[in-house]
Amino acid sequence: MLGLGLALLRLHPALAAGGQALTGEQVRQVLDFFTGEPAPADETNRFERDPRAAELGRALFFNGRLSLSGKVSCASCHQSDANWIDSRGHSDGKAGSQRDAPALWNVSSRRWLLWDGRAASVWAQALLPIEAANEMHSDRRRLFDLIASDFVLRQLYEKTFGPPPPRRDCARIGNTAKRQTCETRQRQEIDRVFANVGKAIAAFEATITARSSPFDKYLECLKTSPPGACRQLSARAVDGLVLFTGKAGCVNCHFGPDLTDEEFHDIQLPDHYGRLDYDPGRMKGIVNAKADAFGPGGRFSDCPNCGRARLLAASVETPESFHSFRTPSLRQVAETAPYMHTGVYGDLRQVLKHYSTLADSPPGGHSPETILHRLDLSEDDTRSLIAFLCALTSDEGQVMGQKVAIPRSAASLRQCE
Amino acid sequence: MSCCLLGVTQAPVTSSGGTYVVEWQTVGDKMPLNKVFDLDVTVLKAADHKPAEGVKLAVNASMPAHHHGMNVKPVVQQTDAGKWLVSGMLFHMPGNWQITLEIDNGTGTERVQFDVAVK
Repeated sequence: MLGLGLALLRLHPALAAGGQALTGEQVRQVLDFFTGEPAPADETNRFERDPRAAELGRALFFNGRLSLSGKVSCASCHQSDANWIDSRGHSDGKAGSQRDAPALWNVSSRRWLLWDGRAASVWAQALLPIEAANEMHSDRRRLFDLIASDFVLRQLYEKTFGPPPPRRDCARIGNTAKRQTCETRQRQEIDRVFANVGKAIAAFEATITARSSPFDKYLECLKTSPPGACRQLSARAVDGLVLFTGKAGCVNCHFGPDLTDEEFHDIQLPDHYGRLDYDPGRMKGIVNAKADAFGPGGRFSDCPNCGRARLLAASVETPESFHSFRTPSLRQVAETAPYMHTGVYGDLRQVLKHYSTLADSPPGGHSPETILHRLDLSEDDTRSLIAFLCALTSDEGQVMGQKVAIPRSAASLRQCE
Repeated sequence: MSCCLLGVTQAPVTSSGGTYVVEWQTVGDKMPLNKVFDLDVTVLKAADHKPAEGVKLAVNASMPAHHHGMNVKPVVQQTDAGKWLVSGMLFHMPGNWQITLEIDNGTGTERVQFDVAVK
């Protein structure tokens, strides 16, 4: 028995790191599940990797003048010093949002944006808060005028997209047909500038990356290092990894380089069925994404026949779409409390308690999907899973090509002790 | 009946009514987890192994253990006599999936199911 154990230790580096031994099959599974290339660049936004567009995007992202009040910017709910989340839970914007603002790390790899996926690209998403009455409450005409009149924004815009078109005084045209032609052309020009604003903000957001967590280093080690060398995870975190990919079944939805399947599920959270503000989630998100004039298959897309557009066109509402929400990436998860699309849970222990007991599940449920079952996690299991989730935290990221230190939040320090 | 090997090919299976023999293979070298892929499907008459004529093909897939299907509807196009291209399949979760092909000849429908393990 001892001899077999030593043989396994020699064969599988992960054995030395954890409280329990990963089998060769487990090592292979872990590498299969969590390694691989992040999603390729968004082909519907040819400016996504353009540094000039990113410069403009940064200037817009932090600019409160995008809002009607002059006080609300993208950064109001995605705070650069708080892992790009709104640490208050529900994002306030102008009048308050019903949903929790997600972190922006690695956001350019997301297949769908927003909790219901009603935006099918980052640039399409970036436009929605600008005109949302409960967020920036502005409109594309004001934005058009802002780009034209603000010296810095105009210069940055011109560098990427060329000079913005002029503001037309269509009202002065007496001939009705000519006035309508003028107004139509002006609307198209305003929409084009609006789309370019979204693409520039997406270009900035594409520079916000963080993939240097202890778990990343552990995976690299598992690929290449001699037995016993992979000590980037604590023994308890390795136990958590085994639970995550095994008994707890977290990996069913949280896999890939960013630990998300990029799709939608009803995880039986407390809901408000029957109330006017009941949130149908993905069921409505598909409809809205397909109706979006700035969608990946639309006239402002740089590749209307590419993968994103085809995927959206093929997406269907299913019975299980109702009240389902996007699987979030678990990178930096210890830093991004509160949790779930409503921000209902304040720490990871509460999240795991939900999965362990399903005590908060609404009676009767609406989704036919049966992925969840009570995990009945022990205290030891819970501590191990939290240790693993805490190991997904990078303490260094990149923004605009520059390394940035990522400070640990007080909440993270509390739950990752 | 497992997938995720290079060049996944399914051996011929007879349809529920015994009229057809169906086989498929992935376009490209594998059936990936959570990435869009296509299938080439061949439907032959069981009696003489000649291409099935005058039939329509419908394709879907589900995870029986989870009680959900795909989040997309694949596009099914006939490419030749007895041959179809099924494009836009997406298995978004790991585990056991069941691919269902329905062959409709206008008077009745016969079904073939294949189990695949996606990792």
